[in-house]
Amino acid sequence: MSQISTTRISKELLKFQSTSTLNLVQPTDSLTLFYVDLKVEGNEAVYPPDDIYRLRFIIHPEYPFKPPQVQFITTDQHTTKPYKIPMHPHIYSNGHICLNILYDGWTPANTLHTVALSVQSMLSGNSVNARPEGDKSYCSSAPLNPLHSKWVFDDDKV
Amino acid sequence: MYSQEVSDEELYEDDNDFYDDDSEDDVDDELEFDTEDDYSVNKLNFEDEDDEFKTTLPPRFVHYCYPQKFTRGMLPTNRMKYEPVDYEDIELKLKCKIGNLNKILQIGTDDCTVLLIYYHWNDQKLLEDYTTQDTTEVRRKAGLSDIAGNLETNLIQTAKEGDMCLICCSESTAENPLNVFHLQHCSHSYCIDCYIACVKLAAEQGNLLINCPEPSCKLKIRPTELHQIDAYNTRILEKLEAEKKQENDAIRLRRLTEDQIKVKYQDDFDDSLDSPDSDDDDDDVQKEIKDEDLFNFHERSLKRQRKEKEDKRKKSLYRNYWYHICKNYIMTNRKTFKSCPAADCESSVEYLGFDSSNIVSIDEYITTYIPIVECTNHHRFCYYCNAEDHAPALCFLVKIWVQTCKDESKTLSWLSANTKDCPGCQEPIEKNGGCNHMTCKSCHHEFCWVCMSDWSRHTDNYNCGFARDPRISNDKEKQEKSRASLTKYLHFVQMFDIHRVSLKKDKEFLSKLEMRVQEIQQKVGVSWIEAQFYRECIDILLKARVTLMWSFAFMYYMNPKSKEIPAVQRLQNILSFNVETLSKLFEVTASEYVIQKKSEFLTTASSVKNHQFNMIDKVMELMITDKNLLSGAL
Repeated sequence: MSQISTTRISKELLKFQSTSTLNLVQPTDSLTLFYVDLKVEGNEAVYPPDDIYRLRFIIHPEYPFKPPQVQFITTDQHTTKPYKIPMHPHIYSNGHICLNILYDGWTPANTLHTVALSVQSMLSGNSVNARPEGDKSYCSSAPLNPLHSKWVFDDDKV
Repeated sequence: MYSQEVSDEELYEDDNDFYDDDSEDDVDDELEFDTEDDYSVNKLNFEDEDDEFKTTLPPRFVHYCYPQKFTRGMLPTNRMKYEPVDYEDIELKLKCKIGNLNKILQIGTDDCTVLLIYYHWNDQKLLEDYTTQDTTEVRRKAGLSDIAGNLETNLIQTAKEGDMCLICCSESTAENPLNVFHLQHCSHSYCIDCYIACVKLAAEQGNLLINCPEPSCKLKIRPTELHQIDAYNTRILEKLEAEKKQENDAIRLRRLTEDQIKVKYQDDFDDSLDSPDSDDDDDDVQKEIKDEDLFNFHERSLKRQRKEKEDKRKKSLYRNYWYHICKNYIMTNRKTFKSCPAADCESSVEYLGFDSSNIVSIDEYITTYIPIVECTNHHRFCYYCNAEDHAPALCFLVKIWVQTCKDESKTLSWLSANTKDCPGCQEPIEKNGGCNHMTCKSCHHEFCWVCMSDWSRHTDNYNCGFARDPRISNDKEKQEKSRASLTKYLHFVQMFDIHRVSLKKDKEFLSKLEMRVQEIQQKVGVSWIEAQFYRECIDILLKARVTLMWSFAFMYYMNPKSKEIPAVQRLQNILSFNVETLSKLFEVTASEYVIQKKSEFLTTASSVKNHQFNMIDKVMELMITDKNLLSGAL
């Protein structure tokens, strides 16, 4: 990891302390893997107030000039209980999120905090309790890393 | 309309020769010279906006896919008009569009560039929107601020002490002040290194218009802003290079002194020790040349040129920006632009319509003619099917010919013409001689080849008394027919293949020979221009081989009842003879004598060229007059 990434991430992590609905979890001492436990408030119709969703960030060595790998997860070696993948017309059941700032629209001025906030606002503004079209076929053929998928961003309303 | 045509003709074709390289070259040279000239003007007066964005373009040099208005039999031809273009030409054209738009809108070339890119260079639509709709809204959508006008201030500033770049999180201190940059109309400033990285990233992501790095800001970087960043970047790169050079020089200096010491000591030894060393060096050089033998000289120099351009481009963000704009322009205007299919060639061809109003669309054109075009690097290809030159075979003939050659169905028809299935085990059997008493090798079934029934019924080995079943005789007729068509197919496919292989061999052989001639030329001291005839002869030979090769595919599909078959065959034979003569001449002439045999090469080549033209011309005439000519293909 480059000098820039380390200085930047250590500064970025401090920002999470100010937001109560975003809970940063740092499972290891390394600066390449983080979880953000995310609560959605004020949208009980789709997301029950007690539900917590877990967002996983894997940092690229050239961060912030390369985007981090961001997705929702249910379980992995660092979790103790299974999480749910939130229902959203842009979130696939394997946890991949169709959001342009995570892929082609990434700019180095984005931070982990702003990404988490955008995902959160994407959820709180949503009223459709459904998966995207073609969810099954995408999940059956999707690469593990969502950055390797070819994304088409055609809907900027939701 | 007519006078326009005449002037075009005068410009281009004053000679009756087919593929007249000289006149073509003249036009091309002029063309290249023109663009180069303009380009250098751009570079010199870069700051002067008026010169970069001209409002008039240099005159077009129209090329034709077929060189003459009439065939030798005085039949009028329809020709497709085109112009070979480089990225530089496109850049010039687009900049002219920007200049013209700025003349009308008066909002600065910067804003015009961004607006035009946003509107995919559709200036009509842009003008309409800009004048009828809310101007600020149109500008905002394209990523421009509300204030029009070009940039005049320097946007790179030194940050105050304690300011921090939000991307790399480095702080500006009194000893180490940060250079920061922001767009003219927004206040999102980042340190210049990060800004450069962001611009590079956006270019990698394939964005033509580059956003301000701040996600909430919708402003786009405008050309002059990019130019400022680029100027800074170039300065840094140059500085780095200079440092590196200094370092290298220091190392070399050290080595030199060591060498000098050695030389000093070796002076005492015998001089013969030095000679094997120098021999080794020579061997290395020769090895390098051999590795490159696979390409011919032309392709090699093309590759080198391209690499130089690419290196230059990579260093400059601004040039890279324009490169991608031009590339995108060609890709998005596929109806009028075709990129050259040759590897390592970045040239393209712009379609300019037809020289007569009889033909409206390219789809109609290719039913009778072949739109063979030549790019700025002299690669010949078909405008319609993007394949290499395939005259005199029409595009659809090429398609079915390739399909037929690939198809297994022909193998199957060989089987059906030459074999029968064993009645016992259904294994296909070929009768390669002997009597009609067959014994199957796999199932040992014994049967009669004529009536296919059990051999036990037969007594005479040579006469079958049972072959009177009408069904069987019908089969036989079918078999005869398929056998005849197969023989025909095999003949043409063999001829086609012979010339295809010769073409390949010629290419390999000639590129090696050319290499040798280049060497000799350097040794003997013949000027480059004087040795050019050799290149031209090679070109003529290869082109003629292509024509000869495809003429066999054409013949295969010709209507067997056509009275013109012998005439075409005669032309084919003459062409074939001439091509082989030239090929032989190349083969037997030792590279030392090539220059001396100049006149012999030139006469043979011109005769090849002439017969190649005769061939294509004849086929063209036939295509125009006889609509049923290709009934064999339908």
